[in-house]
Order: sequence, then structure tokens, then C-alpha cells
Amino acid sequence: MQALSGKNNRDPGGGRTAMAKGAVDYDAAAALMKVEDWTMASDVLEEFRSTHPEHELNAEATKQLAYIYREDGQTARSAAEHERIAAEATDPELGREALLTAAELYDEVPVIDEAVRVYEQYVDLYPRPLDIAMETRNRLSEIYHEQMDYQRYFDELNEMIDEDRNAGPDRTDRSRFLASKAALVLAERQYEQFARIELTQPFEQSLALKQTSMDDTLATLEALVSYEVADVTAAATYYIAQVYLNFSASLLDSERPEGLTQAEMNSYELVIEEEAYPFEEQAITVHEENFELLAVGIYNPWVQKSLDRLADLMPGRYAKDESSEGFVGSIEIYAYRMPIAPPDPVEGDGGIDVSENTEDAGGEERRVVVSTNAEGTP
Amino acid sequence: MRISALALVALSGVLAACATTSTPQPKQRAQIQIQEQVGFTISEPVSVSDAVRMDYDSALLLLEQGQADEGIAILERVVAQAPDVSGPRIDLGIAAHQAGDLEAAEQHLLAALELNPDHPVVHNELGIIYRKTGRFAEARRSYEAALTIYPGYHHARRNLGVLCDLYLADPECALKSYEAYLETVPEDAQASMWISDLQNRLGR
Repeated sequence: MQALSGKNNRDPGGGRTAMAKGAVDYDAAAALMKVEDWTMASDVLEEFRSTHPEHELNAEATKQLAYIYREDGQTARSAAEHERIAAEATDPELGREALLTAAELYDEVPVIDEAVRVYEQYVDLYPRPLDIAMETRNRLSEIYHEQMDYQRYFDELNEMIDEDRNAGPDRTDRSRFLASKAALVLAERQYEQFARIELTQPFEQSLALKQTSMDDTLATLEALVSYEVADVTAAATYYIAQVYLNFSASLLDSERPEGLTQAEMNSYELVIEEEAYPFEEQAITVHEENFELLAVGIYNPWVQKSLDRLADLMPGRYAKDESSEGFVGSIEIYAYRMPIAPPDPVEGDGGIDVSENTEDAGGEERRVVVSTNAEGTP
Repeated sequence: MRISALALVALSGVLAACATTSTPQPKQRAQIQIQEQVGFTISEPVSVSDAVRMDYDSALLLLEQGQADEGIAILERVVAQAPDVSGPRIDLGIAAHQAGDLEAAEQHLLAALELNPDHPVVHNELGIIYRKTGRFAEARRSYEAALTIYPGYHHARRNLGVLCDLYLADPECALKSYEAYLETVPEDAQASMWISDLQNRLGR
């Protein structure tokens, strides 16, 4: 191997000889790669690179090492070689692709800190193509979320929104979609903050705070519609309805003032109910608007969630569950009896007589299940 | 046999099957006996060991006690040992549905349907899953298939009504289905209100 790698070779003939020797070593590594001897091939190439740092085939050796380590399952080492390719590349496109591959390989291992470092480097260096930069930022946001690093998570989501908004003609359907998802997460956060505000005494003060938060949250949610992404629009509509519903419930649950007479308290309750009711009505209207998306063929979890809320708010109209049989409960016989079927004159238990079919070869009687009842589905 | 005027319908015509394969193959004919205005009975002559029967019973007991994971695991064993029997597959589908695994539920029910293509229970269960996964046209076809086999099957009548009412915006279909359902479950006051509400919306 030493003969192949040239580890102990002298180079009395100068640079030309060294260059020729290096080429021989490189060819030897290529031969080893052909027979998939990854360990030997990588040893030769590492040796070649350190022995001939100025060799014209050095960049190619790095590419080969990146390939070898990947094939050999040494993903992190392959990632490092891809980083080196990126750093040494004179072709910007090659450098960009190599850097992204390096990050993805670190992510694959996973060596998350390295993946984050390289992903961040990538989005700084290569804001275009926009779709790839947005996908990369999206992956970064997922990692931050998994790490519960919420500040960086929210920062990254904001970056995605800004990048898409400011992309001008480079904006794409994909960048718009990813930005809309990011904006929805931030809007949900804003909604949660609004929903947590309770109406306490002094009432006017907490009411003003909640109203301001409501206005801001509604504005954020309404802005989501401009992305024209069906799922996000449905989600925004759902949350808009929930804002009204929450405000109504907060009024009803608000802390009552002290020192009121019974008559004053009765009047107060009446006023609170009168103030709360229109917000609940508005919530119903908006949830119904969301549910009407079904008529144009849009169905997603947000539409279903609106239906679920409508079932709570208007059970007579919307709380309509399917009914199911429940378990068959028998291996060879299943008997169904209509609820209006007359009682069985012989059995007297409402069951269809299936006794001929309930015995197995051994003569053992088996259970027969007779279903007559409607049960709600799971 | 004390049932008169029975309609006998052969369900699954394919006889050949290999007991060792996990692919469901109708081995014996399942039969449906229909008694109008009363109900139907599906019988499926099978040959399984007592051990499998005990497993099946214990799985159902666990499921009824809310031990879904344990019950499903045993049912899966039953299905593996009796791959050409539809009942345990249907129950496995229902159990998966109850556990929230709609994808697995659908696969089990489709496998049951291959064994027993005219089982109204399977069509009804599949209809619910199709509805929950937004495939409303398939849901409608499933409920209608159940009703083609047994027009008095009240679950499918009700479920077709709910589908038409809430998801297909087809109030005529909803009204017709609810009315048919109420004929089979006349004491359902809730359904009576649904009908009144629909009639109001339709201006009747």
C-alpha cells in the first residue's frame, strides 16, 4: 500500500516527478474504488492529498473522498468532505450544491449542531434559488422547534415570511406556501396569547387590553388569507371564529365587581349576556363560512374543526354523528335485526334464530350477535 | 330452521385458498339470509381451532374493557391464523378505527370486503372512514352498497343522511335518508328534529 500511496517516496527529480507520482497514486485509488475497497481507497486518497497538497487532482480527490465516505457509511466524514468541496469550488453552483449536501448529510447522521451550522451558512450565502433557501429555512425551523429553542424558531419563521414577501418576481408557489405555514404558526401563537387574557377587575382595564389584542389578532389572521393557500385560509377562518367565541366566553366568565346589590348584579349579568351574545353569533357565522368551503370541494382538518365547534354551538343543526355496528363478535355468524322488527315469537329475545349455524364441527354452540342498536362512531 | 321466506344469496364465489398465506382468499361461501322487515344473517362456515376461538374471545373482551393495544395485538394474531375468515378482520378494522388508526382500519376492512363482499357492516364502516378522510363520494357509494344489500339497514340509512346533510350539501338526499332511517328507528327523537329542520330549510 505504501508503494501505491507513495508515502515513503523521495522526490529527487523535482515537481514534475512528484506530479507524475501523484497521478499514479490517484489512479491507484480509482482502481480500489472500482472494487469497492473503500477503506484502502480512502487511505490512498487521504495520503495523496496530504503528500501532494498542490496537485491538480487534489480537488478531484476530495470529491472522491466525499463519495467514498458516503458509500462506506461514514456520513459525517462525507459531509466534511462536501464542506471542503464547497470551500474550494471555483464554480458557484458546485459550491452551493456541495454545501447543501454537507448540511443534509450532517442532518442525516444526525450531527445536528453541525447540520444547523452548515444550514445557516447555506441560507446566508445562497438566498437564491428561493425555493431551496426556503426549504432550508423550513428545516432549520423544524430543528429549532425540536430543540425547543423557541426564540430561534420564531425568528426563523419570521425570516421565511420576510424572504417570501420581499422576493418580488422570484416568489414562487412553494415559497408562498412555506411562508403561509410559517405565518400561521405565528398567528396561532398570537391567538393563544389573546385567548389567555382574562377579564378581571378593574374591568375596563382588562377589557381594553383584551380588545386591543383581539383587534391585532384578527388583523394577523385576516392577513393570512392573502397567501391564497386553502389550508391556511381555512385555518385562519377557524381562528377568527375562535377569537369571537373566546371573547364571548371571556365576557361571560369575567370577574364580577364587588359591592353590587342583588338587583344591580342581576342587571349586570343581563348586560354581560347581551354584550357576549353577538360575539357568539359572529363566531357561528364565521365557522359556518368555513364549513361552507365544503361546497367548493375544500375539506381539511380546519373545516372539520369548524364543524366540531358548530356541533357544540348548534347541536340541533350540526351534532350529527354516524352510527356504527360495533364489533361483529362472532367468527362464523353475524345476525342483524332491525330495531322495528317484531319480537321473535319463539325466542322472545328479539334475535333471529340462527341455531343451525352456531355449532362447529365439535358440536360446541357458538355465540350469536344480534344487533339492533345505533351507536355513535368512535 | 324457523325462518320462513329466506332469500339465500351466495356471497363469495371463489373457493380456492391457501390457509398458510396471509392474503385473504375466500375459502368457503359466506351466505346471507335476508328476512324482509326483520333483518339479515350472514353465516360463514369456517374451520378454526379452539385456541384461535379463545384468542378471539379474549381479544374482544380486552377491547370491550378499553385495552385497545392488547386486544388489537391478539386480533392480529387471530387474523394471521385465520386469514380467510372475515369476522375477525372486520373487528380488527373496527378496533383500529376506535384507536384512531384510520389507515389500518381501512386496510383491514377492505381485506374483509374481499372475503365477504356483500357484508353491510363492512360497507357501513368503510363509509364512515371514507367520510372522516374526506372521500365523500366513496362514502356515499359505501353506504349505498350496504343499502343495496339490505335496504333496511338503519346505520347506513342514518349515515347516508348525515353525509348528504353535512358534507354533500344534498338536503333532498338527507331528508329521504333520515325519513327512511326514522321508519326503522321511530323512537329516535333527535332524528325527528333533524327532519323538521331539513323540511324548514327546504321550505316545506
